[in-house]
Amino acid sequence: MDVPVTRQLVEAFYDAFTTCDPGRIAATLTHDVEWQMDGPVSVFPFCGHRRGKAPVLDLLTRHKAEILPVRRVDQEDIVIDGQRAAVFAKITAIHKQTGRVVVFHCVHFLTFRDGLVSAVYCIADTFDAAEQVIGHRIDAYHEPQGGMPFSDRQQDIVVI
Amino acid sequence: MSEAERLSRAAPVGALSPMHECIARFYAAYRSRDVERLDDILDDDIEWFMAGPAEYFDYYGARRGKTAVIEAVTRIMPCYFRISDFDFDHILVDGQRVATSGRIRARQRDTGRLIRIGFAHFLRFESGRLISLRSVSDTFDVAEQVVGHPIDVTREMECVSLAPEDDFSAV
Repeated sequence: MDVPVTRQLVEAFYDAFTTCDPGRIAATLTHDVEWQMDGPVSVFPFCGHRRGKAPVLDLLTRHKAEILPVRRVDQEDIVIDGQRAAVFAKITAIHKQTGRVVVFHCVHFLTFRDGLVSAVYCIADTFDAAEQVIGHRIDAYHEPQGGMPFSDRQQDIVVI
Repeated sequence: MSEAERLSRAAPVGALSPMHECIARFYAAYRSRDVERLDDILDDDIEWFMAGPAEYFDYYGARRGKTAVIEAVTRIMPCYFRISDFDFDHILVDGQRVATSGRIRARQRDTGRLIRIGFAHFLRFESGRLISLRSVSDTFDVAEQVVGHPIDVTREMECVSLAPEDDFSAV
């Protein structure tokens, strides 16, 4: 029988998540965990899809941690339904290259199995996060000269 | 297929609960941009927040009250795109609190181009009416789809003053 998903279980996952400690994070994940993070890989190369504990641990403790390690997750709202939980959060992270503190809104949909996280879907206010990482306001309406048409580049830009 | 049928398909149980009926009514009203249907489901004092670059796309940001939200949905948002449907990946219900995620299908206003927007909504209902919505979407992707070209992140937005700072007579 499945372990009931409680607010404490969700918070325990985030306690491990923010440590970037492979052992602590591994203890919260199923062996076949799926992790999907929407976002522009041109700015955040760690976005995309991972499957399996080893690739997800590599993502969280090395790949993402080397670029934008999460320092704090302020859980503003949690909705729990059966084995799933959704968390509306404000993420505080550090852009390692510049040392900038980056704060942005994010939602996680977590699926649990036997008290462990088996799937995570992350969606974030990526425009805001990108501006903070780049360090200036981005001119969204400026069309790059000689750039590839959007339709040709879409697969490269929005790899999910 | 009706909004309710789509919702029931995504819901963990077969039959629609009263809360799923509320969710279905809200998304049907949102999609249709029908003022009467929005008026029926939105609370007078609704709090509405869509995270995103409001300086570019002014449907983002915070609004308070039914009138302001109806204006955002029926007048401001269609200046950029018209929503044609919601495809749900998750619908979580915890009492009167709801979290949904999925893809919005829409048409860009000027070109008619199909755009798909990943979204997550946190909803709160009270007495069958929506009292709060908070939304997060992959706003960089949304911006590229709405403007219709890749965004060069190295390009800094230029701030142009409409009048000299010391020229108060021009203001």
